[in-house]
Amino acid sequence: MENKYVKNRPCQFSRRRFLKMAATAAAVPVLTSCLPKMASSPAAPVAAPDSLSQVVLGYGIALATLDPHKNGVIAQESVIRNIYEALVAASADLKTVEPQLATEWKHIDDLTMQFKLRQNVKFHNGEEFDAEAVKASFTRVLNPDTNAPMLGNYSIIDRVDVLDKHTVNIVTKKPDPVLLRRLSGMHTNIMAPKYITTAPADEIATKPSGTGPYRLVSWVKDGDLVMEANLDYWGPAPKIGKVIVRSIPEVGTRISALMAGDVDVIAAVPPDDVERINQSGKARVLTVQGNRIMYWAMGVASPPTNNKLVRQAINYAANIDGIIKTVLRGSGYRRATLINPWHTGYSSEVQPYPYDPEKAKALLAEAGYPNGCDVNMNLVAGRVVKDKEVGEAIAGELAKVGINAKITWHEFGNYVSLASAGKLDGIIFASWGNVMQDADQAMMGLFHSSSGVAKAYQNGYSNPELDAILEQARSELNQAKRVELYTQAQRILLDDAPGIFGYSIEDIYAVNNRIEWQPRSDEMVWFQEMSPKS
Amino acid sequence: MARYIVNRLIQSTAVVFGVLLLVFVIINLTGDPVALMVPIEASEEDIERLRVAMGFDRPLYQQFISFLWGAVQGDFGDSLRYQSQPALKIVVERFPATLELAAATLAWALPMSLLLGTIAALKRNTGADSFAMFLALLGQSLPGFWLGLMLILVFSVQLGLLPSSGRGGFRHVILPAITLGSFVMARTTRLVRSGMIEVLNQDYIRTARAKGLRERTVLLRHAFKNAAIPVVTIVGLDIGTLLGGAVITETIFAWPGIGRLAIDAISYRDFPVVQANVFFIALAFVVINLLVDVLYTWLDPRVRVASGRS
Repeated sequence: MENKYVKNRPCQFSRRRFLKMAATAAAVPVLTSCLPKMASSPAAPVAAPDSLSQVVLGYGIALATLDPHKNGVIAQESVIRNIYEALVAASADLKTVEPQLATEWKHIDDLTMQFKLRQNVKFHNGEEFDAEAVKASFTRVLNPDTNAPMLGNYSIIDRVDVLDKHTVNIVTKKPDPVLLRRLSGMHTNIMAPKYITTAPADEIATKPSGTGPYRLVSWVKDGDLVMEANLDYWGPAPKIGKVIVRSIPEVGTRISALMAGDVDVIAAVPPDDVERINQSGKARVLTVQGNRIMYWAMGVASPPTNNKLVRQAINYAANIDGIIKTVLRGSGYRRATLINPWHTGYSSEVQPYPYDPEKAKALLAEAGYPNGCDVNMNLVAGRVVKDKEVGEAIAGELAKVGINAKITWHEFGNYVSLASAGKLDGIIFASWGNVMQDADQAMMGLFHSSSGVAKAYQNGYSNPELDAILEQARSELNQAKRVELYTQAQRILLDDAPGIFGYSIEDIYAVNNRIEWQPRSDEMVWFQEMSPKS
Repeated sequence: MARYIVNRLIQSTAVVFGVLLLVFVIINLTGDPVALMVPIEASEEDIERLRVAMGFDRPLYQQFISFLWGAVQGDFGDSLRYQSQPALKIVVERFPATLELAAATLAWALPMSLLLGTIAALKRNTGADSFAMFLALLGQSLPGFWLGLMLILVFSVQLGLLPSSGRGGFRHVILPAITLGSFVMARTTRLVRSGMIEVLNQDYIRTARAKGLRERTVLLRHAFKNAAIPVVTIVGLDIGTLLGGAVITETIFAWPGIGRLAIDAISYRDFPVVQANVFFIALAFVVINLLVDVLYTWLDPRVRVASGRS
């Protein structure tokens, strides 16, 4: 036994081992080419540079779910919206809504809106789109057991009444001027009724079935999501036959992939890389005013920001215009408060705080801080383009008028826990993406005394006069009247200054020169709006 | 032998559960996952409703009991971020990608380091030795982050030879495997070299040569097998690390592996996925260590004899 071990085994072992060593180099292709099949990705070849009808989107965000009723992330909605459709859709300039699965609508009374549905529309799984699908979809979202993360935005909807196969009434609990905006996406995407009841939850999350211009082919999480044009689409046929959404978390790699022609479209390009891309001759940068507005909340409970004059002084001193010009190289758009020009409720009469350091100093003196004061500044880095640099620049501007901002950098998760528990004071990083494109969502969500942000981030900010105006605007069906109300509301806000009012960030995309496309301000990437350049 | 392996198995199980306990405690210290799951635009009622629905309003000890009970059955709960999808499934889905990258990495780094290390040991203090040591130095000191981006710039952007990112066919795995393997190669080369130098000075090598054995036999049968023990230990650890996913390499090359999942899960406070992920990695480590231990008994009979006695 012992003898055998010594004589044969080691020899066998070593020889095999060395043979293997020699063979491994040759074996690698075999090994690796059979492995991908285990992940069941039937179609994910690299984009051939000359295949005109394919587009690869390099996306910084990893997609987690394709279930529209469980998604609260705009970047995911952007992909989902190519597969699912809603009754209406925001127009390209976002100023109005346009027909999508509904063809026309009218108010029956203050609580009821009637929708005529598009006919001869089929879901990707073959089910027919009709009034029952609308009813089933809303029933699913409004059921608390579904755990829709943004349910609060939709709970004003009471029920859907089916009148006939192609007509529904949507009934709200109170008069709702925002209803059409609400119906333009997110949780109001329409799903197939049988699919809802029969498909298990994890299938709904990974194998969507909508009515949209693209249908899902395959999805490897953190890898490629492949879609193909829906040949039965009711609208104009998509010009891009195949779409791949590739998750590329590292921005340097995203840009390299674009330059190498591996991807055709990328989002969230850093302003510093714009020139390099434009000069490459392969791709170009496309910019659009973004929907997300930067805002720094201020705690109104503890000194010095409990004093309105100090908060006003901070707004006069912050020099947001200068920061947009220098730090952001112009890729930001000043906003008076948190309403974008395309939002319902916007008024150009409301002007932002000007840069006025002398006024700031005077206000500080009036507030009892003639020699300046210390203020806590709670920031996070890496969430929004240049958030770190902008935060530091604001601190620098404040120092010029004698406000000494003490910056604390928070890890994002920790910051959310602390801020939403009301444990931060002074100046607190925030930003707001308004999916409704209606002033109501930002105004109620940030400044009404019942909102989490007002209670926690702003340490209990409350103004009964403002509350009354916001509540009135929420149930006023006359849109012109609403604009007046929001104008009043913004004047109160500018005076109260519960935060530093900032700017809309610029959304920066880069696109391969062979593709024609115009991005939108709401971060939605509609692939049917892309076409090969002829 | 059998008893040795059974003992190691029992120890391994204890290790895995120890890790699970530790992870539960640490991750619960990091804060509330629900506030992070929803955007700032969500209302307070929405956050509270989700907190109750997911059981985060319960006392911590109750959460721990239900977590342990689930973990024993292989059920880590549904992911918070990938809603309605079981956490363990999400981790297991990523595994083929990680395995592919690990296999491709070892497939070049191991043979290369064995070859370089052996040559360096045999031709000590010559140009070949210096060259091998220079490569090793390079591999160990180049940061993976920099190396990866440089490889992409040269081979994808400039030369257009290889894809810059993503997972597909063989061509996709080359650059990440080089990035990931350069460190493994460098360290193992040094280890093989020093091990061989030590062994080549032993009496039994002189005896073997005195017997008139061919140099090849001396090297392969006598020297290499003895030098292999520390190498097996370190390579075992390397394999464990590789199976745990390579965060930086996976991030740079957009490789859909376990490492990226772990980082995302942590930053999103996706507790079930973090726990399932750590469980999976711990399991991989334990299994590899077990294999290494078994391999020891094969390479060095003394290990087997000693453990049989105890």
